[in-house]
Amino acid sequence: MKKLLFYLPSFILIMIAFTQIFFAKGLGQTSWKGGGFGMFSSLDSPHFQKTRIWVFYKGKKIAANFSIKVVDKNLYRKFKARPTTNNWLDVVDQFKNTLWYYPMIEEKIKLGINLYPSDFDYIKKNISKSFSVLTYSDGHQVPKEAFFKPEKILLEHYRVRFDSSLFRLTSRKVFQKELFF
Amino acid sequence: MNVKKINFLNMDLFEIILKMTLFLLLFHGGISWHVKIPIKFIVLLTFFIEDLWKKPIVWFSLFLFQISGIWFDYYIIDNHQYLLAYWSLAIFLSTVGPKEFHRLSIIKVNGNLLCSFSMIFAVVWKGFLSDDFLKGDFFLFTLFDDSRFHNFTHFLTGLSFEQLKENQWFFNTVLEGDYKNVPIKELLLNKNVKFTILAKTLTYWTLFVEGSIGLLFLINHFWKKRALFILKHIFLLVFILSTYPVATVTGFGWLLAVFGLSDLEDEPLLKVSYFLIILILQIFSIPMGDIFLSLKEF
Repeated sequence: MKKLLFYLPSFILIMIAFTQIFFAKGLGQTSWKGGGFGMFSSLDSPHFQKTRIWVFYKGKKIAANFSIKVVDKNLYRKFKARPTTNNWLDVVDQFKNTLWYYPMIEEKIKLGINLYPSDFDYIKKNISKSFSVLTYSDGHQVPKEAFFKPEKILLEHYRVRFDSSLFRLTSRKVFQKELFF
Repeated sequence: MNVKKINFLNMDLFEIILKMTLFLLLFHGGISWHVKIPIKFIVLLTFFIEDLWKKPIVWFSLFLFQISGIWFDYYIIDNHQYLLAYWSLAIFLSTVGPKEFHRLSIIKVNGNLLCSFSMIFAVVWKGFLSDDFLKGDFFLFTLFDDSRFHNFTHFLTGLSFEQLKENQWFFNTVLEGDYKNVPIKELLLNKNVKFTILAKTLTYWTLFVEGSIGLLFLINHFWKKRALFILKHIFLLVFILSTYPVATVTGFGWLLAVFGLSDLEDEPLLKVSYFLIILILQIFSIPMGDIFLSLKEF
């Protein structure tokens, strides 16, 4: 028993490394994470991925590249480290109960002014049925009616591939989901 | 210089290992605040309270905080944080042992095996499981994409820092796509012949040196031969010196040096070498490329 304890740290290393190989080869996890020492071996890290988010309102398509903040940080990290369909749907689900506050949106659309993501003032996530008013830290309040509901949100997940024979980078869409409101 | 005057050589090996690990944990232990802060707190206490550095409760607490970091940050934490946690567990087990002999042998055995298996699994990934490594693709991409490799790539291939940064910009443009109002789906990168040769050389060198360390440390665990002992330490020193100036993962290099130290008995030259390497690792973190570019602009 004492002798076994002696080797415990090295034994744990081997067990975790085999588990990580199973996660990577069987469940689509990146080789870089999980304690299997696969870092610096493959071009499959989360670094090669990008989620693009678009909001549609009155015929306009608005880039909302900041809105990934709506998603729980650990959930998004999990998706990028293990980009499976189930994990993608978990990310998408986070957008279902959101309200978007975009002051002056009606005026801007009427005047034909382009919409920019920086104009979005607030995204309220996990909206409950009883939600009626948003109170800012300085005390001013925005009623639920002032938020707009996008007609649609389009979520796209891209992956960049490196082609060493042509020394070329290409981006490919791997997941897409439209949410209607 | 009289080596006997170096305080480091007169210290007990057990004390050197534990204190080097405490310093390592202070600077590189954990990534989230809920792990980093308790680790720093405990480590600083060991500096102020006599003999606390060798108490089992300290090492078990450090191990538990690191495990909690691995659990909560599973999808972002680097592999050397796992290794550091296993090492803290080994030190905890050594502090529980009653006799001096047991203490050092637990540390020695686990230092050897942790070093060996981390290298063996790294080679298994690179040589057998990865689709990108053996073809050389991994280094072809990483040499320009990872800024830490820019100094090295610039000096060995002649590609300018501007060309390397441009390649990085190309990657970001393809990744961001429509967001940057440049809906480019495909881009060709800057390269030259030396760049391709360098990537291939690094590919085979990495496999050779990591594989050699993994096997030598494992074989020497079972077959105690002096020549093997010296050879494995030379390989480990060469690996740290050739890898971490380029891939500046200081924490990993430092931990490997501590593993090397833990295996020594009466080898002052190797002890000093490992200690110097820990010092040099700090210098490797200087962003030479960025400094060079700023000076050029100035």
